[in-house]
Amino acid sequence: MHDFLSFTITGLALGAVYAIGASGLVLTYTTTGIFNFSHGAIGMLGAFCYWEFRFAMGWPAWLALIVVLFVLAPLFGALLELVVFRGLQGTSEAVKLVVTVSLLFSMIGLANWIWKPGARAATPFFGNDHGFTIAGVPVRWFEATRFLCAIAVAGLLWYLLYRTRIGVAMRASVDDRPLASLNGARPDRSAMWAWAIGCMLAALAGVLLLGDINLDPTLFALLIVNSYAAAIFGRLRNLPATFLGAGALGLLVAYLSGYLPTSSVYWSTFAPASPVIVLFIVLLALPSSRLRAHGVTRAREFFPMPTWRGVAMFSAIVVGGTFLALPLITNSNAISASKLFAYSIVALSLVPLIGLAGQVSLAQFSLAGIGAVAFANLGKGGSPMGLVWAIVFSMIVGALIALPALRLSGIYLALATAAFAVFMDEWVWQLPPFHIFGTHETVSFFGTGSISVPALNLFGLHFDTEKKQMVLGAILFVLAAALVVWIRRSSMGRRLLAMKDSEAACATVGMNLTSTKLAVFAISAGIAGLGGAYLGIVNSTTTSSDWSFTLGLPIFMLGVVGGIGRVGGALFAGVSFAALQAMPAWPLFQSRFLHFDTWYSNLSTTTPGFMGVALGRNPNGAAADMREGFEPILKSRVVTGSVGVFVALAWLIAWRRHSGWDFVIGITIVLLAAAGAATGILAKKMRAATAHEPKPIPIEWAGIDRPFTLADREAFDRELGYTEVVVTVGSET
Amino acid sequence: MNAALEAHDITMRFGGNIAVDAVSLNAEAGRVTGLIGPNGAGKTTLFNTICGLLTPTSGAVYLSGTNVTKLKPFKRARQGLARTFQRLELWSLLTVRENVTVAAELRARYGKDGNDPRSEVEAIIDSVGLSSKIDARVDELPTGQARLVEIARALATKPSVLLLDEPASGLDDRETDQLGNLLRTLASQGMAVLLVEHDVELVMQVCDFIYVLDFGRIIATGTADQVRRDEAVLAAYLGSNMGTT
Repeated sequence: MHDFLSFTITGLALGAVYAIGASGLVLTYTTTGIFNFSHGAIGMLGAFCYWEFRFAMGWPAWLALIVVLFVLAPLFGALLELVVFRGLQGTSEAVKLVVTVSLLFSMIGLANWIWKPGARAATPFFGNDHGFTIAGVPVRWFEATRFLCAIAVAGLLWYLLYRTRIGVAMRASVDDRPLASLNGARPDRSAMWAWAIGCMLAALAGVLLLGDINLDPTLFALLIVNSYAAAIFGRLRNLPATFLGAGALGLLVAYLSGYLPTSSVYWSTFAPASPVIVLFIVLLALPSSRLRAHGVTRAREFFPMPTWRGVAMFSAIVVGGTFLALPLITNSNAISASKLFAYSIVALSLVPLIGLAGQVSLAQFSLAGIGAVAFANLGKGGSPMGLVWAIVFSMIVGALIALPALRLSGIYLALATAAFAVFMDEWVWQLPPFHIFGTHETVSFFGTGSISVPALNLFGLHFDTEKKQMVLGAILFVLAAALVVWIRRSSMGRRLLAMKDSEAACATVGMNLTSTKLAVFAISAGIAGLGGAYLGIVNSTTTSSDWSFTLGLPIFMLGVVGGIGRVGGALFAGVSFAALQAMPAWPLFQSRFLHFDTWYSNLSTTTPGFMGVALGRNPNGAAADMREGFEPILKSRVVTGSVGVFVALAWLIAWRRHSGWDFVIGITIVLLAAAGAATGILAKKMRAATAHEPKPIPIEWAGIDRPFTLADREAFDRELGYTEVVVTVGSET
Repeated sequence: MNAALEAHDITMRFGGNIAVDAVSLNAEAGRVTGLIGPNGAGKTTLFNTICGLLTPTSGAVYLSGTNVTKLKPFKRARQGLARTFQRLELWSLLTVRENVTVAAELRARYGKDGNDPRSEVEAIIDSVGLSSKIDARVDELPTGQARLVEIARALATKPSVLLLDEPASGLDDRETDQLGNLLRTLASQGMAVLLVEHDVELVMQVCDFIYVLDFGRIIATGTADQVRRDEAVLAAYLGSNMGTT
């Protein structure tokens, strides 16, 4: 009984922190309609700031608390609202998601940048050494403080939302923003208040967690993510249900930690993973989202139909470029290039899923990990059957993840897939080797640290060197890209795009949404599994950290930034991510001049996040802009020919000097110059062609800049739908 | 003989609000049946319960005598029920041709009639007068033409029952006349057409039988002439304008 009471007190104290974290999340979601994935990271930053003031600078606890909770956190929230979230009104759920996930990632990177990794001693701000007893169980004051803080937050939020003008304005704004404006409310100001208070609550949750775990940015940010499960209890709207859910969650974690046997690896890693399991189960238990006819608005994004000629050219450039690069690059650069293809294949898996079908998944990197584990276990001696199993196992798990997708959409689906990814990180990957169904076949995850992945042996062709693997990567990527293009061009591609726009319309023409979603999740998972197996081959040994949820987030963000509906967007994601990872090893960034080494290693971890925040609003992606910029090169034969000559020259020089960098720098300069020249030539041609044509005068200026003609009248009538009248009027005049 | 569509005693409640109250109606093959009523009368809610987007609180829906009340929307579509939407639900990322092709391909797959769906698409688009816009993206079309794409898409599923929710909204006079002719042609081919429309003139011209809905209840039924003279309708819905149309 003593233990039970002790675990209950611990659980309630933890639940109180979850409740505070979750209430901030619910407040911002209900008032602005944005689910803030970076809420945990904001709490983490709050905790780090408190640690800095209290322990590094030696301020008194009360002063550090006031500065963090009542100055920095609200100001940060208001700034976020002003700079980032205000611009997200009216954008799609996916864009909001990308921006907030990007914020999460960039904040973790920023914290790692400012506070170097290492152990940090931090004690709770109050009452760590003193306490009282309940039925003989000691309770420290800081545990009681957590509980009291949660009660105070609940009361103050209720008072704020139901008894103050700003609270009423907040609730009105989310119901109907324009209507609230017309009635004298100021939605922007309400939103700013909501974000300020939301960030303050996140920071409070972060500060209250101090002393429980080591102050590590990722660990801390993800621990507060546990509170998302509590918010889902209240369906992101109901504060009392959120508080109840938080309490239940805290108790569950405490009981599991206390009662599960620590001698078993299976159970000792289960307790920390339990909040995300609860999140997954609660999401599955939510009522199915009803098919709604909501009226489809004009699409902001446009992904043109890819042609087979374009695919052939793209494949020739990728594979040809790889062969051209082989004599120029070192083995270590070949590994980076191989990883580029692996990341591109994983990003490619998002094209049918998010780009075409509009289904969000944050678990693609975990599926890639399944591919790597399957190949490592079943691809003995590098057997190609290992690749087949990698794809098949990933597809099966992908289809299982699709189960919540059949019922959920938007933010709930993103949360379900995120919960799955964290569950894999926290529990599945940590399991020790086990036998399958009583056989002698052993399956190894990462419980023993790392597993080795053999090089692929394709019918006697052994891909056992860095450069051979690079060629293999290029071929696998173009094959996967061709598959994605085939899907886009097929009837399935049309069905997926239709489903993305209006599921209700799809259902009413006889489309089985269940099988369509299952199919696209499985295909996407299969591609991710292929990418994972290949990345495993490139790495030769792999650990659980290679497939972590947080490592997969930048691929997701860069895929969206590159253009999630295009193969080029996936390549952009792969190139950017591999470049950012390899950047610290580049000669330029190893220079200590102006501390380039430190700056750029930090920049490489934060850049994807900032790119996501800045470019997440461009639904067509950077790949489309780049294509638009370089397309003129192909339209001028002179420029195309010149580019060919200069590329050949750059290659020859680089080959003579044994320097891949010369080639990269050379073709970058050539392509940029050629794009500029081709654009200029085309513009000049166009000016010459239109120089003698009269400048068209818009119809609105008819009768002002030129005489009003019968043709104008007919055009007006046609626009207004009076075509029959035109004939009558025209014949009379 | 059973009607192609029978809605039997349909009630739909949202919390304390009754949007549709014990409504029964039939749409028979070879006829255009009208469903009119002021805004908020419950017409679109009734449509949603018939096609399965909403599950009625009580009542049943029959297609050619088969109870489909528990079937999902896509299964009802496969039994021959198609619809258009009051607020456009076109697939804006696709062209006119692709919008119709998706429906035709699905029909070919579940209908297993052996026809090449792509060969039928152009004829269907031509039948609604959009041949010149066949490769245009639908979000570039004016509202009236976009409504015609929705009709073409519904026709591509070769339905036996066609539900049209304000199809003439946004059409000019000439296009409305063409729509009227199309509906009469479809009915003459044996299709049951159920038409919700605010253009009373069109309804009176093309409908063989009309139901009038007000506050979720059927307040009158009959031919155009009967409805036009119905005092309840005149009082509750159309007023004196009804008599002059």
